Amino acid sequence: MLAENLKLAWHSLLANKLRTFLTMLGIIIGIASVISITTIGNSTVEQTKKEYSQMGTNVINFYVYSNDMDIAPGEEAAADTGESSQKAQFTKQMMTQMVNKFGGRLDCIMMQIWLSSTKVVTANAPEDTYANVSVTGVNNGYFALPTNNFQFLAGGPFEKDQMGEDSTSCIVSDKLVDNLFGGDYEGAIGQDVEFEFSDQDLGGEDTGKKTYIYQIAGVYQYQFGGQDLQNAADLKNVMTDLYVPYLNAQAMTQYQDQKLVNYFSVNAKPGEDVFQLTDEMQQFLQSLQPEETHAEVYADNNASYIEQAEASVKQKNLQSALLGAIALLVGGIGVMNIMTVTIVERTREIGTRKALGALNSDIRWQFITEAVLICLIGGAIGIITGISIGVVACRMQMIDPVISVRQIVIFFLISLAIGVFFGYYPAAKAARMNPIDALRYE
Amino acid sequence: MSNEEATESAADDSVVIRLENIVKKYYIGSENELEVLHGVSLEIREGEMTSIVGESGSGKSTLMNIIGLLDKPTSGNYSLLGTNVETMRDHARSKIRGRRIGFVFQNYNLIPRMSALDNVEVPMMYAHVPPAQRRDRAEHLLEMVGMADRMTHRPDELSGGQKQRVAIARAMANDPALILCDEPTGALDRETSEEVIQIFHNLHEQGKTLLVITHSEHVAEETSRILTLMDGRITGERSGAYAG
Repeated sequence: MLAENLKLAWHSLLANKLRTFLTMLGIIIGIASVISITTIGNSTVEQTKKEYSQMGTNVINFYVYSNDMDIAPGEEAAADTGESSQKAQFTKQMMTQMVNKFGGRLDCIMMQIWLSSTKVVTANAPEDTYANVSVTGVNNGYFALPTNNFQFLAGGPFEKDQMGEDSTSCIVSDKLVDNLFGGDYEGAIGQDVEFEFSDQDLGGEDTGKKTYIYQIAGVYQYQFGGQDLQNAADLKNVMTDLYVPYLNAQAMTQYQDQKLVNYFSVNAKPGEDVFQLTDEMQQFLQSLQPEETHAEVYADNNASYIEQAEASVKQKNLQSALLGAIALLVGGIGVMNIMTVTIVERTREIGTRKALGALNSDIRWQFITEAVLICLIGGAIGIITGISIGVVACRMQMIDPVISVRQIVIFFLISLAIGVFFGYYPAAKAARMNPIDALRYE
Repeated sequence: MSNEEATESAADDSVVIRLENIVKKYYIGSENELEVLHGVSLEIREGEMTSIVGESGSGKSTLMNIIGLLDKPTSGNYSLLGTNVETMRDHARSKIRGRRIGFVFQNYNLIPRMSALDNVEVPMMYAHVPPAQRRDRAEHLLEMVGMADRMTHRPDELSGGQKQRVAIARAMANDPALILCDEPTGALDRETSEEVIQIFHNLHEQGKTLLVITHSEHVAEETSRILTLMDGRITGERSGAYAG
């Protein structure tokens, strides 16, 4: 009987093509709008996920801030000039305790201090031989992080005896070696490079420029990002990182805050539950903080950024679903309206069918099938239109479109449900018709 | 009907329809209560070709609706093929109507968007006859009524006489016990009417039971038995010109 009903419904829809299309329009617009918006939203989330995954979903960042200023503003000056031991920080002892407790679950610990940017030259070099650098103090964990994707072309990370406060070892990019040593990476190892900072550059009083001489311990392959090329069209002027040992940078900086460790990152081992590890480490580090510093330890991870992005898109999807639901409600009422008209127009046919042995349920199903068919065809057109709009919009924003099969199935089922729901009342009315009255209807 | 009578009519296989004292009232209990049938009794046997003739307002449409199980009498007994049908529920009545009674209407009542073949298949579809079997039978019936070359035409592509032939084929679809014809030639010219009546005669000769309800004495004369309905009562019975 279903096949017959589908055939009957199909013929009846074809008999009024324009009317059928106009009826479907509500459903098409409702479904297309929701699908296009959610396709864009989901594609954006996937893009965000991809970007954060490239940065490493296992990276956890820890910060410590003192709440002193919030709690007692009057102590602000005192806190600024006070003993550094009273300030919020991760002390060496805390870090050791942290490593003892969590070391087995971590790939590496990264610490960095950004100092300043400057020009690097070699002794007696001609005036136009230089390299732009950004000087950053890092520990070896920085190079170990898989997502940093460090490739040493010569030398390697800092040796144990190169890590101290008074170390003069540095790690430079291949671009710097290209500029200063003609691209001889192996030959550059052990060579002297010079750069100048004033104390003001490092956050202190202006006492004139000081020259720093460092020896190259390693050469890494510089990875271009899109922005570097825009900022420095001339390859020669490209700014690359020059890394000095973390303790050395800590000694060099004049910023009081940088003298303390108040920020570090770790990379959790693969398979670790990043969220749980974040919580555990945050609580542990907080417990180590002395009360008088009013220090608070914060932690975040890239996984949480992904979660935030997902939550925000979910919110948007919910809003668009609400709008779509309203559009579908209007579309559904349109279907109901047209089915009511159809039934009035076909009253005699209903009477005839009843005279020929149709049960009430046969009549009911015939018209429900017709309403469902309108909605399913409208739904299918809406799904295709929505996906097309979504894909075009994603391409325009350079996002890889993500098409959700689950969503397609859901909307197909929603179309089916609208057909049944809004078709039921007119169909039931048709089924209840008195055959004699229906046969007499002019 | 007493048990005895029921047993008797059940035993008498040749009785297709037995109406006993059928009364039909409209607007029951209201001021304008109207009694249309005042106790109609009649019996139609298998293979008979009977007509009920009456003026408009005589109650013949009401009687036809009751016989066709489209309406229920207010009182009285109606047994179709020995089964008491007036107390049956709608569902069961619909099933019997579809399988046991074939309708031929004055205005054909073909479904507009469907071909002649599809129209003839409709009663078989509701009787759950398998599609292939349905198609074969519909083709056969349309051939029988001389519509072999117009099977795929839709009603709007057929003349009045052709439409009525399709309607007759449709009435025959489930091989019913009774073919009930309501003014079957009312919308046709004389020549076409005679063609249609000839088809009825052919069916009668094949042993079909036909009941023609008409206001036309001319049509009534084409049946073998004529019952006259006047003011809701059967007032006479005579033989028609058609000997059968």
